[in-house]
Amino acid sequence: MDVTDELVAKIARLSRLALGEEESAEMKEHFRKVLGFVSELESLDLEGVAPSLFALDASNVQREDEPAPSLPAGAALANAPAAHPPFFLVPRIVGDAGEPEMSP
Amino acid sequence: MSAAAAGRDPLESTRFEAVIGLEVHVQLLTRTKMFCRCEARFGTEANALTCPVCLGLPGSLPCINRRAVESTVRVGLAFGSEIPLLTKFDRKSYFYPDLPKGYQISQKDDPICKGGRVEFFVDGEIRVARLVRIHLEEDAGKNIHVEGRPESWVDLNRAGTPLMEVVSEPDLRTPREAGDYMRMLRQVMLYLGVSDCNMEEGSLRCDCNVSTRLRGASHLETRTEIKNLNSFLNVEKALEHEIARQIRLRETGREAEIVQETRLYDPDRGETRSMRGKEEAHDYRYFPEPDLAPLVFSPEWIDGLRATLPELPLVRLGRFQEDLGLSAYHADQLVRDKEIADYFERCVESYRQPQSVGNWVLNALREELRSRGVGIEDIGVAPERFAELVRAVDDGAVSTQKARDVLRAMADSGRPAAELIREMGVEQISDDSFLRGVVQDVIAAHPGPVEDVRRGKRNSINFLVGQVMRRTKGQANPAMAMSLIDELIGSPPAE
Amino acid sequence: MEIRDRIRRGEMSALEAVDEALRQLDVVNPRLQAALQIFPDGARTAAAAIDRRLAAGEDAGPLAGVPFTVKDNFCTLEGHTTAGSRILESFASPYDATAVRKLKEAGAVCVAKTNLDEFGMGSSTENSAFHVTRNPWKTTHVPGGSSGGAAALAVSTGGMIHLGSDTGGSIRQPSACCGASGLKPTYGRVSRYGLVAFASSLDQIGPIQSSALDCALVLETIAGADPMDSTSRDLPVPRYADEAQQDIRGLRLGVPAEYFPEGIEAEVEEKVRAAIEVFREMGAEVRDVSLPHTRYANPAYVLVSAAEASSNLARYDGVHYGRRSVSASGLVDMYCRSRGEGFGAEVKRRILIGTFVLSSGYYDAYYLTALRVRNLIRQDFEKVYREVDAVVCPTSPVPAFPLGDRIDDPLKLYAVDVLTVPANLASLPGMSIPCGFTSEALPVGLQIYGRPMQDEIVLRLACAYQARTDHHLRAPPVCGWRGGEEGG
Repeated sequence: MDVTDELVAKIARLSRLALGEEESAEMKEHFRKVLGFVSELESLDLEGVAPSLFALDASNVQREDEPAPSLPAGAALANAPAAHPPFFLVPRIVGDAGEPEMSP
Repeated sequence: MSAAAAGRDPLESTRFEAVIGLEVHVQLLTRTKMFCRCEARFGTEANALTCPVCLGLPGSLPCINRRAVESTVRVGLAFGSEIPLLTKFDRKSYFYPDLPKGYQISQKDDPICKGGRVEFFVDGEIRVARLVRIHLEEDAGKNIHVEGRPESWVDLNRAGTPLMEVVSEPDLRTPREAGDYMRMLRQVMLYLGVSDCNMEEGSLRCDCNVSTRLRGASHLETRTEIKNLNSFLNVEKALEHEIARQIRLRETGREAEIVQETRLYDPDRGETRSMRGKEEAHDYRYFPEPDLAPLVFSPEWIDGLRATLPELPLVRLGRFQEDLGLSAYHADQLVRDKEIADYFERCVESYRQPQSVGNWVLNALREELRSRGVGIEDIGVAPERFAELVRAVDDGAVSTQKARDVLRAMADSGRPAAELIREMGVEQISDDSFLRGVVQDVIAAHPGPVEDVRRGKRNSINFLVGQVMRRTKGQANPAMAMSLIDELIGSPPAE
Repeated sequence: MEIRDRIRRGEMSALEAVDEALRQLDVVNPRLQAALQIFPDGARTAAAAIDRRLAAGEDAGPLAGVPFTVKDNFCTLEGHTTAGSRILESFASPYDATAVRKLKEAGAVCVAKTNLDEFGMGSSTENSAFHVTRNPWKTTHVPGGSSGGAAALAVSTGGMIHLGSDTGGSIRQPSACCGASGLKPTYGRVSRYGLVAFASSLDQIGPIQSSALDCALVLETIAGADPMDSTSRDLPVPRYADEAQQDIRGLRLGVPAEYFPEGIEAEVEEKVRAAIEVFREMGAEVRDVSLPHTRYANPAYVLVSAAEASSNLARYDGVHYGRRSVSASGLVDMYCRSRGEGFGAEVKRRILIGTFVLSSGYYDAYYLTALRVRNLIRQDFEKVYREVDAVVCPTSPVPAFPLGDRIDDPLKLYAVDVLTVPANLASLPGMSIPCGFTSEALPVGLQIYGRPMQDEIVLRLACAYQARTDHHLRAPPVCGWRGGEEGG
């Protein structure tokens, strides 16, 4: 497939990765190489081969609905880059239309 | 003035009909979160109910809460869904501060329940909405936007709590149907005990998909999605406004302006608003959650859960009408709340007069609960004792009015009705020979009014009954007193 | 494990053992840069506590006083848990990984955290955000990766336990490069709880030691079901150290032709084939087998691991912990800059590829295809394991290479994983042990694959080989304990 600047930009945006100009060019080249590398798989006849969705044959691993202690007070925020205790702090969440964005 | 603004069915007298499908999110009632053992509850300090798993810390892994799975299966069984023997979880990826892992563990291709149908009433008529699926996922935390501050706050106490999503087919046609469908969902959840369905706390939230088309058409037009509605009223109002908007556009040849988009409902301004601009095309990049093994159910296990299902509201409604002879209205009122209906049934077991018991439960008892602000489990009056009170009223042992005082005293003291009636001196006098004597005295003492009654002035009989009540300190059975007066005066019978 | 026995017999205190470990680290680390963090104070305090328990006659655990290191992608209460990344540079974990907890409960003492390729992504440890690690046999060369720090220490120091992690060869390939013995257990054998995830369906924790028997001892301690990891298996844990010392006579070994691919270095092939002969001499039955889809394993691995990584690394967004860019304006910009500044180039490459293969329109063509190929790889092994008990082959087609040699060409670096990724795709146990040295005096790794949950067979073969050979006993020039040329 054709690896375009737009594709790289779109994927970088989806990945929430800021890329410099040079880095974008390098990533485009890398995409090209990796897609070339994996194109070998196209030669395989995979008709009727189920995808291995899980690494294990195990199933039904569940736990009882029994509470355990949460982290001690303050521990949740101990590593926070910014906090307004007891909250985490992030830049104001505002959509382009001036509306608070909602969780999708 | 638009139809919606007038509060009418926006579809009435138009050539159009609406096609509505709902995605209802139900917070499940579990002790712990979906994938970790933090308590799932409200009302504590922000971020206090968190651990490495629900904070999404490096290295943490999810573990499935068995009870949440069981609750979802039970809901599916209640709605006749298929429960596939294999189900799995998937990751749904997007970045948002209330989603600490950058993905939500949800279910895509293999939900716990497939299909099913919800039967519900609209104006006394039964309707059916088919279900697409019911799946299980984890809830996000909460972002808090503080007016006038340059930042937002994040609380992850809710992050990771179990959330069930019930997705309907686009089988609903009016806002009213959508509201009643959701009311039935709520009723069934309460019956199953899987959610407290507390709307204020957002335990029940709804996304509405709605499109409009010419009445009778069978194709689907472009739909819009109204997100995050958290009350029945808002669901109905938001749909009314959105349908009216779409119809206005169709009637003025601007249907091209109806585009697939997410809209927000603004209850203050009475309109839905596009969220356009902020939305880049979502690409959630679902893939199977590699940290969780799939769930494989046995038919025996599913049957075991089926056996735990209570009688569901619609079935109970029918039984109350057919077996107990209740009116549709009373039966409906009684089944709405499972605890009330259970209480009612236990009363009827010890005093088989469903209609008067039903009346007393729906009126005096519910009023007492309201004034005390408690649930029926906390009123402190056992159903058997409540039934005794109703029986006393029916037997004329206490007046309807005094019985309410007795109920209050029963709730205060936990003592039986008969004892309290005696102690409070509110026993009603229904003894014929005693009352006959009192009535004779009254007739002798008030010849004027007696004469009036004889001439057909019915108002005067109330005066005479009042005199009887006075002489018995209000304990005479007023109905008996009146018929005795009529009998002894020989007045023409009341019309 | 000699040190364990000496402490047990009272010939050495836990504190002395820890001090000796710290002394060795002092000697080798400036040369090798194998450790990212060393905890002299914490370790000595913990050792003193063990000694007090021993003095009081208490059972301080089967590994009482034995010093250990973990790769810095294990969450530890000690120090920081960086995963070799700037984005987690100052992250302090509020909990211990289950494997770490188990070692501590057995009485072992955490002395250091070892260097790695950022988030385990690399085969040379050159992708560490902090510094490169050097090969103890030749300091101009890489130690392999991503558990390069652990492998370098395993051969250059003594009397310590080292834990690494393996997603596509990250325990075995550095073990081969450094002449260490490294075991990637069966997927599900060891809890992953607290291991900073790279690719969840492939990651597994295991020991890197100077001998296979020590690996068995460590596995015995860290293996087993964990309620915190739904993918850990609830199966009995054998006494691996005993099992490992059983006879190998009659075991059937398969030698897959596909594991001696074009481009394999002649000396590597020669040493591995010689090692296979040793097994034959010891009474194992050796036969040729075919794993026909081997050449497709690496492309499938590149896709599957990147896909999972893109998701697993989404949590590093500068909101709840980790690095946040100071120059951002607005939320989305904050995400993009924090991640853009916090991640290294290779991590970004994998995130982008992974996002791409999971994105709408490409999922089926890339991700699902890779999972189908994964199934073929599994089926290959299932078939072969009907005929043989284990597979023997090279760990890597090449020995350790010079620093900087491959780092500029990611695909050239991916190529060294070609013989190790199948174990991860098929969830099999795999082990690398040294089987000789090249003319440049660089170690060559022999790889042993076993059936799922038959880690003891792999260990048995490795122990038997080491009972007959002394490659694993040779000391590298940079050495803190065996009197190597430059160490002391």
